[in-house]
Amino acid sequence: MKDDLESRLSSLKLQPLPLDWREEMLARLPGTMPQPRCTPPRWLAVGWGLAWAAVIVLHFTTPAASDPAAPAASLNAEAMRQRAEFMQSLLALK
Amino acid sequence: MLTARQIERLYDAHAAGLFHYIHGIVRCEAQAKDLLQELFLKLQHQGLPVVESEKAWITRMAHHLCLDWLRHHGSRQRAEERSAAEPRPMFQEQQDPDSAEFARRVGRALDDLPPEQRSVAYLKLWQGLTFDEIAAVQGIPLNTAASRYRYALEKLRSLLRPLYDEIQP
Repeated sequence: MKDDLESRLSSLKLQPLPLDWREEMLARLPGTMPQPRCTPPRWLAVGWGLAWAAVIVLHFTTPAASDPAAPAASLNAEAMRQRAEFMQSLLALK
Repeated sequence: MLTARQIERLYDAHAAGLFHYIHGIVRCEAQAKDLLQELFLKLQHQGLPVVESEKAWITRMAHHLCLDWLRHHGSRQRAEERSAAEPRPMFQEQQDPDSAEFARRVGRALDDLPPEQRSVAYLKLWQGLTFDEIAAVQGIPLNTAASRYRYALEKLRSLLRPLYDEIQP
Protein backbone atom coordinates (compact mmCIF):
# COMPACT_ATOMS: atom_id res chain seq x y z
CA MET A 1 0.00 0.00 0.00
CA LYS A 2 1.35 3.41 -0.97
CA ASP A 3 1.89 6.08 1.64
CA ASP A 4 1.34 9.79 0.98
CA LEU A 5 4.86 10.46 -0.18
CA GLU A 6 4.86 7.52 -2.59
CA SER A 7 1.56 8.68 -4.05
CA ARG A 8 2.84 12.21 -4.41
CA LEU A 9 6.07 11.02 -6.03
CA SER A 10 4.41 8.66 -8.46
CA SER A 11 1.93 11.36 -9.47
CA LEU A 12 4.77 13.38 -11.00
CA LYS A 13 4.60 13.02 -14.76
CA LEU A 14 7.77 12.21 -16.68
CA GLN A 15 9.06 14.74 -19.18
CA PRO A 16 8.00 13.53 -22.65
CA LEU A 17 10.66 13.12 -25.31
CA PRO A 18 11.08 15.86 -27.93
CA LEU A 19 8.71 15.23 -30.84
CA ASP A 20 11.46 15.28 -33.46
CA TRP A 21 13.20 12.35 -31.75
CA ARG A 22 10.36 10.05 -32.77
CA GLU A 23 10.73 10.80 -36.48
CA GLU A 24 14.50 10.71 -36.23
CA MET A 25 14.66 7.37 -34.43
CA LEU A 26 12.00 5.63 -36.48
CA ALA A 27 13.60 6.83 -39.72
CA ARG A 28 16.88 5.18 -38.71
CA LEU A 29 15.24 1.79 -38.34
CA PRO A 30 15.37 -0.28 -41.51
CA GLY A 31 11.96 -0.95 -43.02
CA THR A 32 10.32 2.01 -41.36
CA MET A 33 11.54 4.55 -43.92
CA PRO A 34 9.28 5.34 -46.86
CA GLN A 35 10.14 2.85 -49.60
CA PRO A 36 11.65 4.27 -52.81
CA ARG A 37 9.12 4.47 -55.67
CA CYS A 38 9.19 1.51 -57.99
CA THR A 39 6.25 2.69 -60.10
CA PRO A 40 6.69 5.10 -63.02
CA PRO A 41 5.89 8.77 -62.50
CA ARG A 42 2.22 9.66 -62.74
CA TRP A 43 2.57 11.59 -66.04
CA LEU A 44 4.18 8.57 -67.71
CA ALA A 45 1.51 6.18 -66.42
CA VAL A 46 -1.23 8.51 -67.66
CA GLY A 47 0.50 8.80 -71.09
CA TRP A 48 0.75 5.03 -71.42
CA GLY A 49 -2.88 4.66 -70.43
CA LEU A 50 -4.02 7.16 -73.05
CA ALA A 51 -1.89 5.56 -75.76
CA TRP A 52 -3.34 2.11 -75.06
CA ALA A 53 -6.86 3.54 -74.96
CA ALA A 54 -6.29 5.11 -78.39
CA VAL A 55 -4.99 1.81 -79.80
CA ILE A 56 -8.02 -0.07 -78.48
CA VAL A 57 -10.46 2.55 -79.82
CA LEU A 58 -8.81 2.51 -83.24
CA HIS A 59 -8.83 -1.28 -83.28
CA PHE A 60 -12.56 -1.48 -82.69
CA THR A 61 -13.61 1.50 -84.84
CA THR A 62 -11.57 0.73 -87.98
CA PRO A 63 -13.72 -1.28 -90.46
CA ALA A 64 -12.32 -4.73 -91.17
CA ALA A 65 -10.63 -4.85 -94.62
CA SER A 66 -11.16 -7.78 -96.99
CA ASP A 67 -8.52 -10.39 -96.30
CA PRO A 68 -6.20 -10.48 -99.27
CA ALA A 69 -3.69 -12.56 -97.42
CA ALA A 70 -5.67 -15.78 -97.56
CA PRO A 71 -5.51 -16.39 -101.38
CA ALA A 72 -1.90 -15.24 -101.40
CA ALA A 73 -1.13 -17.74 -98.75
CA SER A 74 -2.78 -20.55 -100.70
CA LEU A 75 -0.89 -19.48 -103.85
CA ASN A 76 2.37 -19.57 -101.98
CA ALA A 77 1.59 -23.06 -100.74
CA GLU A 78 0.84 -24.21 -104.30
CA ALA A 79 4.14 -22.71 -105.56
CA MET A 80 6.05 -24.44 -102.76
CA ARG A 81 4.44 -27.76 -103.59
CA GLN A 82 5.32 -27.37 -107.29
CA ARG A 83 8.90 -26.45 -106.41
CA ALA A 84 9.23 -29.48 -104.16
CA GLU A 85 7.93 -31.76 -106.94
CA PHE A 86 10.39 -30.17 -109.37
CA MET A 87 13.28 -30.72 -106.97
CA GLN A 88 12.26 -34.34 -106.47
CA SER A 89 12.13 -34.90 -110.26
CA LEU A 90 15.61 -33.37 -110.59
CA LEU A 91 16.93 -35.68 -107.89
CA ALA A 92 15.30 -38.64 -109.59
CA LEU A 93 17.12 -37.78 -112.84
CA LYS A 94 20.51 -37.90 -111.11
CA MET B 1 11.13 -8.79 -37.28
CA LEU B 2 8.61 -6.16 -36.13
CA THR B 3 6.67 -4.06 -38.61
CA ALA B 4 6.92 -0.29 -38.73
CA ARG B 5 3.52 -0.01 -37.06
CA GLN B 6 4.48 -2.32 -34.20
CA ILE B 7 7.68 -0.37 -33.60
CA GLU B 8 5.77 2.91 -33.60
CA ARG B 9 3.37 1.53 -31.02
CA LEU B 10 6.24 0.39 -28.81
CA TYR B 11 7.93 3.76 -29.17
CA ASP B 12 4.78 5.65 -28.20
CA ALA B 13 4.13 3.37 -25.24
CA HIS B 14 7.61 3.04 -23.78
CA ALA B 15 10.24 5.37 -25.26
CA ALA B 16 10.01 8.17 -22.69
CA GLY B 17 10.08 5.80 -19.70
CA LEU B 18 12.97 3.86 -21.17
CA PHE B 19 14.90 7.02 -21.97
CA HIS B 20 14.67 8.28 -18.40
CA TYR B 21 15.71 4.87 -17.08
CA ILE B 22 18.72 4.71 -19.41
CA HIS B 23 19.60 8.33 -18.65
CA GLY B 24 19.45 7.57 -14.94
CA ILE B 25 22.17 4.97 -15.45
CA VAL B 26 24.50 6.42 -18.10
CA ARG B 27 23.89 10.04 -17.01
CA CYS B 28 24.44 11.50 -20.48
CA GLU B 29 21.60 12.64 -22.70
CA ALA B 30 23.33 11.98 -26.03
CA GLN B 31 24.41 8.53 -24.90
CA ALA B 32 20.98 7.71 -23.52
CA LYS B 33 19.47 8.69 -26.86
CA ASP B 34 21.94 6.50 -28.76
CA LEU B 35 21.22 3.56 -26.48
CA LEU B 36 17.49 4.06 -26.91
CA GLN B 37 17.99 3.97 -30.68
CA GLU B 38 20.06 0.80 -30.33
CA LEU B 39 17.35 -0.73 -28.19
CA PHE B 40 14.65 -0.14 -30.80
CA LEU B 41 16.94 -1.49 -33.52
CA LYS B 42 17.43 -4.63 -31.46
CA LEU B 43 13.72 -4.86 -30.72
CA GLN B 44 12.90 -4.58 -34.39
CA HIS B 45 15.24 -7.43 -35.31
CA GLN B 46 14.47 -9.73 -32.37
CA GLY B 47 10.75 -9.14 -32.27
CA LEU B 48 8.64 -9.23 -29.17
CA PRO B 49 7.91 -12.60 -27.56
CA VAL B 50 4.66 -13.26 -25.75
CA VAL B 51 5.47 -12.07 -22.24
CA GLU B 52 3.47 -11.20 -19.16
CA SER B 53 4.77 -7.65 -19.02
CA GLU B 54 5.94 -6.04 -22.23
CA LYS B 55 7.30 -3.06 -20.29
CA ALA B 56 9.38 -5.23 -17.94
CA TRP B 57 10.75 -7.25 -20.82
CA ILE B 58 11.84 -4.19 -22.80
CA THR B 59 13.23 -2.50 -19.69
CA ARG B 60 15.33 -5.62 -19.08
CA MET B 61 16.77 -5.25 -22.59
CA ALA B 62 17.51 -1.59 -21.83
CA HIS B 63 19.19 -2.53 -18.55
CA HIS B 64 21.49 -4.98 -20.29
CA LEU B 65 22.39 -2.42 -22.95
CA CYS B 66 23.31 0.05 -20.21
CA LEU B 67 25.46 -2.52 -18.40
CA ASP B 68 27.28 -3.36 -21.64
CA TRP B 69 27.84 0.31 -22.30
CA LEU B 70 29.14 0.95 -18.78
CA ARG B 71 31.44 -2.06 -19.09
CA HIS B 72 32.99 -0.69 -22.26
CA HIS B 73 32.88 3.04 -21.78
CA GLY B 74 33.19 3.86 -18.17
CA SER B 75 32.21 3.12 -14.64
CA ARG B 76 29.13 4.28 -12.80
CA GLN B 77 31.30 6.74 -10.92
CA ARG B 78 32.31 8.47 -14.15
CA ALA B 79 28.68 8.45 -15.22
CA GLU B 80 27.71 10.15 -11.96
CA GLU B 81 30.38 12.81 -12.53
CA ARG B 82 29.02 13.44 -16.02
CA SER B 83 25.53 13.98 -14.67
CA ALA B 84 26.63 16.99 -12.65
CA ALA B 85 27.60 18.70 -15.89
CA GLU B 86 24.43 17.68 -17.69
CA PRO B 87 21.40 18.21 -15.55
CA ARG B 88 18.22 17.17 -17.36
CA PRO B 89 14.73 17.72 -16.00
CA MET B 90 13.06 14.39 -15.47
CA PHE B 91 9.55 15.64 -14.80
CA GLN B 92 7.10 17.71 -16.78
CA GLU B 93 6.99 21.39 -15.97
CA GLN B 94 4.36 22.20 -13.38
CA GLN B 95 2.16 25.28 -13.50
CA ASP B 96 1.67 25.48 -9.76
CA PRO B 97 4.82 26.98 -8.11
CA ASP B 98 4.67 24.60 -5.13
CA SER B 99 4.39 21.58 -7.40
CA ALA B 100 7.16 22.93 -9.63
CA GLU B 101 9.44 23.32 -6.62
CA PHE B 102 8.52 19.85 -5.40
CA ALA B 103 9.36 18.34 -8.81
CA ARG B 104 12.70 20.16 -8.87
CA ARG B 105 13.53 18.94 -5.37
CA VAL B 106 12.56 15.38 -6.22
CA GLY B 107 14.88 15.52 -9.24
CA ARG B 108 17.74 16.74 -7.04
CA ALA B 109 16.98 14.21 -4.31
CA LEU B 110 17.04 11.39 -6.87
CA ASP B 111 20.47 12.57 -7.99
CA ASP B 112 21.65 12.18 -4.40
CA LEU B 113 20.59 8.54 -4.20
CA PRO B 114 23.05 5.74 -4.87
CA PRO B 115 22.52 4.60 -8.51
CA GLU B 116 21.23 1.16 -7.48
CA GLN B 117 18.57 2.67 -5.24
CA ARG B 118 17.68 5.37 -7.75
CA SER B 119 17.03 2.89 -10.57
CA VAL B 120 14.86 0.66 -8.36
CA ALA B 121 12.90 3.65 -7.08
CA TYR B 122 12.41 4.85 -10.66
CA LEU B 123 11.12 1.49 -11.87
CA LYS B 124 8.74 1.20 -8.92
CA LEU B 125 7.44 4.76 -8.72
CA TRP B 126 7.40 5.92 -12.33
CA GLN B 127 7.33 2.73 -14.35
CA GLY B 128 4.92 0.91 -12.06
CA LEU B 129 6.87 -2.36 -12.06
CA THR B 130 6.44 -4.90 -9.28
CA PHE B 131 9.39 -6.04 -7.16
CA ASP B 132 9.32 -9.34 -9.03
CA GLU B 133 9.62 -7.50 -12.33
CA ILE B 134 12.34 -5.18 -11.01
CA ALA B 135 14.30 -8.18 -9.77
CA ALA B 136 14.00 -9.79 -13.21
CA VAL B 137 14.94 -6.58 -15.02
CA GLN B 138 18.08 -6.02 -12.96
CA GLY B 139 18.98 -9.64 -12.32
CA ILE B 140 18.89 -9.22 -8.54
CA PRO B 141 17.06 -11.15 -5.80
CA LEU B 142 13.55 -10.04 -4.96
CA ASN B 143 14.56 -9.08 -1.40
CA THR B 144 17.38 -6.91 -2.71
CA ALA B 145 14.98 -5.05 -4.98
CA ALA B 146 12.56 -4.51 -2.09
CA SER B 147 15.26 -3.34 0.33
CA ARG B 148 16.83 -0.99 -2.23
CA TYR B 149 13.42 0.57 -2.72
CA ARG B 150 12.87 0.90 1.02
CA TYR B 151 16.24 2.62 1.51
CA ALA B 152 15.59 4.87 -1.47
CA LEU B 153 12.20 5.90 -0.16
CA GLU B 154 13.52 6.61 3.32
CA LYS B 155 16.25 8.81 1.90
CA LEU B 156 13.79 10.63 -0.36
CA ARG B 157 11.51 11.08 2.62
CA SER B 158 14.25 12.67 4.71
CA LEU B 159 15.42 14.89 1.84
CA LEU B 160 11.94 16.02 0.90
CA ARG B 161 10.24 16.05 4.28
CA PRO B 162 10.56 19.76 5.10
CA LEU B 163 9.17 20.87 1.76
CA TYR B 164 6.64 18.07 1.54
CA ASP B 165 5.26 18.89 4.98
CA GLU B 166 5.10 22.55 4.05
CA ILE B 167 3.12 22.06 0.83
CA GLN B 168 0.86 19.29 2.12
CA PRO B 169 -2.74 20.31 1.38
